[in-house]
Amino acid sequence: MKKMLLATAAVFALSTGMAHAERGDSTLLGSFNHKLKGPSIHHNTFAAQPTTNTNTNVITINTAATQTSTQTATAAAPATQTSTSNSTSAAGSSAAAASANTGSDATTPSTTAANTDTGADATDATASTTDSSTDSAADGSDSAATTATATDAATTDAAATAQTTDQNGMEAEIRNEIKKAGNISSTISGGNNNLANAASISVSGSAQTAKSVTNKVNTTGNITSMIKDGNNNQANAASIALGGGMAVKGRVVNEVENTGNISSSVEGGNNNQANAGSIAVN
Amino acid sequence: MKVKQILTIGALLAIPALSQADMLGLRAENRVQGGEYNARIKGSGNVANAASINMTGSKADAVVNRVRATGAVSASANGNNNTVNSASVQMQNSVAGQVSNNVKVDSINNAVQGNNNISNIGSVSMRNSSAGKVTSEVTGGQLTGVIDGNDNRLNIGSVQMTEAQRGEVMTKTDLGNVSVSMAGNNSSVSVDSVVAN
Repeated sequence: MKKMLLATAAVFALSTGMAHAERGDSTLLGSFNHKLKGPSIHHNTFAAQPTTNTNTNVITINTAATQTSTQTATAAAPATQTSTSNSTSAAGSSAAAASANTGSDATTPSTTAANTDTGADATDATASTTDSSTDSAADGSDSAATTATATDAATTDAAATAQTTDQNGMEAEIRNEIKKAGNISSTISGGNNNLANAASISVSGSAQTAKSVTNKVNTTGNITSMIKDGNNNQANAASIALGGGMAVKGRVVNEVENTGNISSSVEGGNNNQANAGSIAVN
Repeated sequence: MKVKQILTIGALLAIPALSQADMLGLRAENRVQGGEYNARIKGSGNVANAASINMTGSKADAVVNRVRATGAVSASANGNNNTVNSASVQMQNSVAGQVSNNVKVDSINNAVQGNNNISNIGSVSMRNSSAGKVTSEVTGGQLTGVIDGNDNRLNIGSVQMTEAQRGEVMTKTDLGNVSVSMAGNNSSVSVDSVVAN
């Protein structure tokens, strides 16, 4: 009798569990395949704890094998990345946060001390494809007034050295992918001719040709790019900005998904441009 | 019936209830909602682009802009001679083989205060440009356009072509409520329209 009772209980227990699993009915009535005849009121008796966004902040800016003019950045540690540039003079400056920022001067050989950008000289066919830029602020007008303080401690810029591109083609693939990033901000306060990028691709300078330009941002964090006061400034957030009559032979793709707040603002001044989740080709 | 046996039976009966979470495959999902695209401009001769494509004096083969957010897209300008684009494609003095703008958001808000401004919401604007194919797909629930000033232009879900050569222009808007508020003189508003000059 006892064994039978025990066996019966075991069978009942297992069958009840299977019924739950098959029907997805977590109610007790569901164990008996009960059919509710009236409107049901569901009460969630279990509280799912919200997943904590730990912001592991793994940011990779990938450069393709043929990459010749972008920086490779990998960040793993900081939850918040900021790149701040304070310019109090008329000189221009650039601030880039988790961005691929390239620039060149078509008329001035890039041998100035302030800029290690060695590429894209319009008169040098080879140099234009060997832009091993180590700068995150390739604006040729970088000056001492710029106090770019990128706090992206784990970010390391690596020169793209692979050169498999046809020297005459000047074709480079520019690719910027950001996944699971934390908050990213780029700010410039005061001054003129400034550039602030956050999770963006910004390419300036004439006589540049790119095979394709791709910017993918998938993050739950906030992306902010801001310029306060001044003229001829540009603030990019999760955007692609191509300037200087640059030619792109392939595709220009900007994908922004699952983000938190994205804001790009220019406050005060004239002839400024603010891009948020956009593509600007000038 | 002994106490031990009763406890054993009770334990067996409790197994399904205790383990139902795993058996039912319950998963705690954390869906992030919210988010806001915001572009603000104060001054003159400025451009604010939010979830948009803006080409000026350029040439490109294919340009693709894809934005997914659960929040709002907003752009505003305060001043004169400004251009404000939200979820739009604008081309000036440019040539492109293919332009694709695909935006899904909850709401889109543009606000312009001043004179001689252009405000585009979910629109395609081409001036002295040519494109083989322009595709703009915009999905939003609430659209709001506010203009306060003179000689302003507001486009909502429209195609504006001025001295433009086009191959194919396709616009698709899935929108909810559209609200337009205007104050001033000589302003132009186009909603779900095609205008060619």
